[in-house]
Amino acid sequence: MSKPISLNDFDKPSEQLTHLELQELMPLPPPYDNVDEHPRWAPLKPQAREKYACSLDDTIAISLPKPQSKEEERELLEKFVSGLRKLLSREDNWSFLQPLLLSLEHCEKCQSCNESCPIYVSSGHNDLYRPTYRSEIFRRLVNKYGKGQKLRAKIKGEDIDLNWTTLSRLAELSYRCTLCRRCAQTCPIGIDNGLITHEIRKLFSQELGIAPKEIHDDGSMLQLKVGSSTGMNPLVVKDNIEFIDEEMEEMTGISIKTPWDKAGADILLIHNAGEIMAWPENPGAFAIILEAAGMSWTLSSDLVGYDGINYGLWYDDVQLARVALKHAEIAKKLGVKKIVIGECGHASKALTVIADRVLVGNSFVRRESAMTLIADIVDSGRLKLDPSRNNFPITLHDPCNLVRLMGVVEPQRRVLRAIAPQFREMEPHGVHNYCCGGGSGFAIMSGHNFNDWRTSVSARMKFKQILEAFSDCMDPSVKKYVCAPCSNCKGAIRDLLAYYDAWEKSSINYGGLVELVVNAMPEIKEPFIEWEWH
Amino acid sequence: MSALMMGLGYLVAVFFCIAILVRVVHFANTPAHLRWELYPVPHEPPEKVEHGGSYLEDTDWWTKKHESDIPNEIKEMLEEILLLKALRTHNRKLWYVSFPFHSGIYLVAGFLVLLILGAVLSALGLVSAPEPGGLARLLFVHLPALLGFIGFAMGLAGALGLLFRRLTEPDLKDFTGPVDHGILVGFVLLFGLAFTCLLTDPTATGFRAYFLGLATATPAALPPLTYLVVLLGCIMLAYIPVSHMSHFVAKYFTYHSVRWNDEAMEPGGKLDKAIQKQLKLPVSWSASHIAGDGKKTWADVAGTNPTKESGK
Ligand code: SF4
Ligand code: SF4
Repeated sequence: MSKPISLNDFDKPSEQLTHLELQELMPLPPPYDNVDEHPRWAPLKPQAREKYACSLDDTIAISLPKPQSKEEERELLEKFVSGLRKLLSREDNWSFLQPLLLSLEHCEKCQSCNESCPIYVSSGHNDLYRPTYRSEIFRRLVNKYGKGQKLRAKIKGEDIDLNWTTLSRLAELSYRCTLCRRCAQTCPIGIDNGLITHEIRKLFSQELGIAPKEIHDDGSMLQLKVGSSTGMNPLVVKDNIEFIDEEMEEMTGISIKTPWDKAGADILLIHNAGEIMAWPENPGAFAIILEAAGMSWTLSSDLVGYDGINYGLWYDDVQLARVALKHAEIAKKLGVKKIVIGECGHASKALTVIADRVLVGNSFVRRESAMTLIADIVDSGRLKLDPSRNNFPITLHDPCNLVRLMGVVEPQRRVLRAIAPQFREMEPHGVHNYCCGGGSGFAIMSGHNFNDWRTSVSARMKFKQILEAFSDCMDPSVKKYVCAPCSNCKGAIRDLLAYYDAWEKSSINYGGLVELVVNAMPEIKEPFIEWEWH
Repeated sequence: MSALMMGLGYLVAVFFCIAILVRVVHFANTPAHLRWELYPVPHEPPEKVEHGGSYLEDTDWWTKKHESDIPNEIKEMLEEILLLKALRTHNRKLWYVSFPFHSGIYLVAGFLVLLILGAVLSALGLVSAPEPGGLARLLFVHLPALLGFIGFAMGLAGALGLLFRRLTEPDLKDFTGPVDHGILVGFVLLFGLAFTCLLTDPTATGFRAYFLGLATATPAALPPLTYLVVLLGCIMLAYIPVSHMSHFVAKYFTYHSVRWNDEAMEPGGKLDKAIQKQLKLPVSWSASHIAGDGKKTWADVAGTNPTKESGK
């Protein structure tokens, strides 16, 4: 058991606040219960230790360079304090001021939320990963430095020193939570530790310009620059989709021509562009289904219009608004009736729910998740479907953004009940699901040894759930499928299965929802699901 | 002494009301925020609540009538307020002590309300509580005494339990400071002494005399123990609204304004107008991709592409 970590330890310089041993992590079910067979974590390289702040735990997510002078350090600390004040201001933080104040001012510190956090539990109950630990550190900083209550902090025994150690550890710690908000669901008061994490990330990004490269520079900035965080510009994306159309025809015998920029179409479909690059069968399956169902739809080749991702959701309100406005502007230009977001949880939530209070006035446009559309098509009987073609064990991963944060729970199940005779739920599921471990950007972050931390800690609970869902058919002779209707979740689950050799050992595959629908279409001779994936 | 205690009573009552009002205004006055609901949302129709679903599960939901199940929301609220449902589900160990503590407080609130009401009606000459056998005596003497007995006992047990847990549980220890301990000790003393007071004075004569004195602005001589209880009660009552213990106010907002707030944007509606106004607020976030200067508005920065080149 790792040494208890007190709140008072946080501002005291030390080489590393905590260290995780594989033996201490939450045990996994068989045949993955032997820790000695698990991959060893790559230690941080000496160059990384030299260059970046890494005094929190065994990994680093944001590669925050150590300040080169006292002056630089002072400047960072001053900016942090000014950021604290801005978070508390109506002008600079109208977007989340009320929820933030509520969560900062009324936590009873009862610790009832801790056991709901997959990261805390998976870590073997390491104090550092309690939902309340990060929040309490931040609350103390807000009270002392943001509100200037220095005496109160002393009297209440909640004093904390803002120094480089505190700042750099807090920046890292804000990337040890997937913003799944499972903890918020259990809090009797309604305190939201996920929201506090979100606000800490905002402070670092919006005031200090500090965010993981994968999310900011190579994420939202690249998307705004070339049109997609994948780096695809409009020409490349059209090329790639053309290639996917051809491949679909080859695979299925169905001739597909994806419509581009069709003015007046009913639906503007926006995929997470990562699908086009990593899982082309997903946009391909969408095209097959929509064409077969006779839908009026289009993709857009406008800058940003072909990539539904909106990483700002995780760390920066301004970036969130910029991307959402671009999506709405493109839909307006095309004159579509609505935007439908493909299989991507965070993109769906960002555009349908969060941006609901950004797209005002002339920017307003209707938006919805593809889950409802696909379920309606399946229910309508417009497609001939043969469930026996999907007669293998299938379990469903619920993306947090779709279920807990949007309430879109049933449509995907309606589809699976109709086309997957061996569909079984994970426990818990639906709005009480566990995050895939890749939420809030983790799925695309793998610098240094972050992948080790992610797959071993934040995704551990998901792996346990997957194994338990298939416990009756673990034999590798039975091919199994984890259906993850979200691009980021799919990425996290891919890495997870690969990390533990779950395909080789247990024949566990993964993929999206629409692929299963197409796999059930009898006019397609060869199975659409490809089983050999690495 | 009696006059002093009366003055304190008035002062604390006024302070409590104002401080609670300030807290309500503090939260109510914040700008409309982005949607941040958390499912399940209990006012969705029963067939949705069953699995935690929302109206977003329906294709073209905006063309359908969205009905809210208010009775279910009220049921959920009552279960939370009266039974502390979330704590019971997620932290049974703490619920065993928190439930009696909260229930005790509710009963003590009932005790106070009845005593104050009785005193006011008495002062107005509308009832004569001391009359034996009458309904007034039942309502304003026996019932509050019963509520007080049970309330103080439960409150005492709960406060002792909470104090014990906070002092001994490794999970709670690091997050509990001297002020938290002090408050719990305050509640132990208050409930313990008040209970003792009622044991020695089962019809709450002392408390009734105090409130009648307040209602008639006539200082009443009280037994020393009653003085002590009133003094402690005033201190605790004054502390509640300025501390996180006023979470009953916050809870209204966390549930209704955040967790269960799934109000959809209606073009041209109140929310639309409010957000449009907020988009005109100045931004001073200084990271280079925002470069807020305190003059540019949210609409300005959101409409700017921070990258130099375009991909087309
Ligand atoms: S967030 Fe809620 S559940 Fe967690 S410690 Fe605070 S009050 Fe308790
Ligand atoms: S939001 Fe999720 S990951 Fe973050 S602290 Fe809460 S439960 Fe844990």
